[in-house]
Amino acid sequence: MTWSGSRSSDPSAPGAESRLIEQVQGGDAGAFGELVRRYQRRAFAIAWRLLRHREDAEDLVQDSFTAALDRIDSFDAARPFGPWFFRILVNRGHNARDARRVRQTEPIPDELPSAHGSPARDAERAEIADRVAAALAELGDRQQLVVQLHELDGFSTAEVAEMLDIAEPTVRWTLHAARKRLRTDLAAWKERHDA
Amino acid sequence: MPDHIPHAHRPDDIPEPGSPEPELRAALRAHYGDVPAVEWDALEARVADAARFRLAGRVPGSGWRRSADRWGRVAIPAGLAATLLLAAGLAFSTPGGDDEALAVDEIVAVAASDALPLDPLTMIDQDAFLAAVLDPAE
Repeated sequence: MTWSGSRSSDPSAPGAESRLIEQVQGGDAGAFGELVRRYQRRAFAIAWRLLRHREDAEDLVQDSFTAALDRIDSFDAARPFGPWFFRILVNRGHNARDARRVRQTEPIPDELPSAHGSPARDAERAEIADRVAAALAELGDRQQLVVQLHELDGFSTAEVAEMLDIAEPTVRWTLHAARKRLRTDLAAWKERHDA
Repeated sequence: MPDHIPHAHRPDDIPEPGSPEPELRAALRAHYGDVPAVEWDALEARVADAARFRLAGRVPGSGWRRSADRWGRVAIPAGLAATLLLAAGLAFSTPGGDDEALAVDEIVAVAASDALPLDPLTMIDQDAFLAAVLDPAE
């Protein structure tokens, strides 16, 4: 994981977060800043996974915080803020992606074929990437998001379920099925390749 | 891949996924990429700036009143309902309540009958009675 941030469980004892929310409801800018500090990293991770573009993701984070502030009066401060806020962000992210036809940027793999690697090895990596891409292309948007948030960003299944407002068994099933599919595809390719 | 859990799998049967194999994880990372680095302080300042006017429009301390209002919306109707129930309970549970109610009914009935001295039938009967007593020969 290239980013580190606070998790929903650690900085926010329920009572402390509840007081923070009440302060924000009363217009306390300092409390709002604290809320932003607590949640912006996770918010950006989700936004980036949705939009695949850094500036758009930052816009989405800002937009989601202000939208949450607009609705903060209807929020029950006794409830955890994270799931409620992330649902706002995910919904707005889907809308933004649909409406703006977000510019798709090529992901920057951290294991790009090395300029100094052998052509055979580079070709093998490229072929693996193609296999993975083909397998992942069969997943829906939400399923892909589940895979990314858990496998790459390290969110637990419970956290992913809360963020996306889906049942935790559904998250576990999605991960289980996606891995099985990827393993099968990669194993089949390896068998043919090694033969 | 189906978006829902097949019926053959009960939710409890699905194990908590552990870490994926390094090769699989590397393949996923190569496909999706990592979350890029961000200037967190700058992003925080930008969000705070965008929210400044919204926050300024709020009345400090109104969170207290908001909480009180929320409780009041529940507590006031609940208090009224409890008061009515208590009053009803007291009315039906007072010892001798039925007897007292009956006694009051009797008093009212007697008072009502006393209040009808001009009842024509009663007058006729009284005249006949007096005539018979005062003039038995008739």
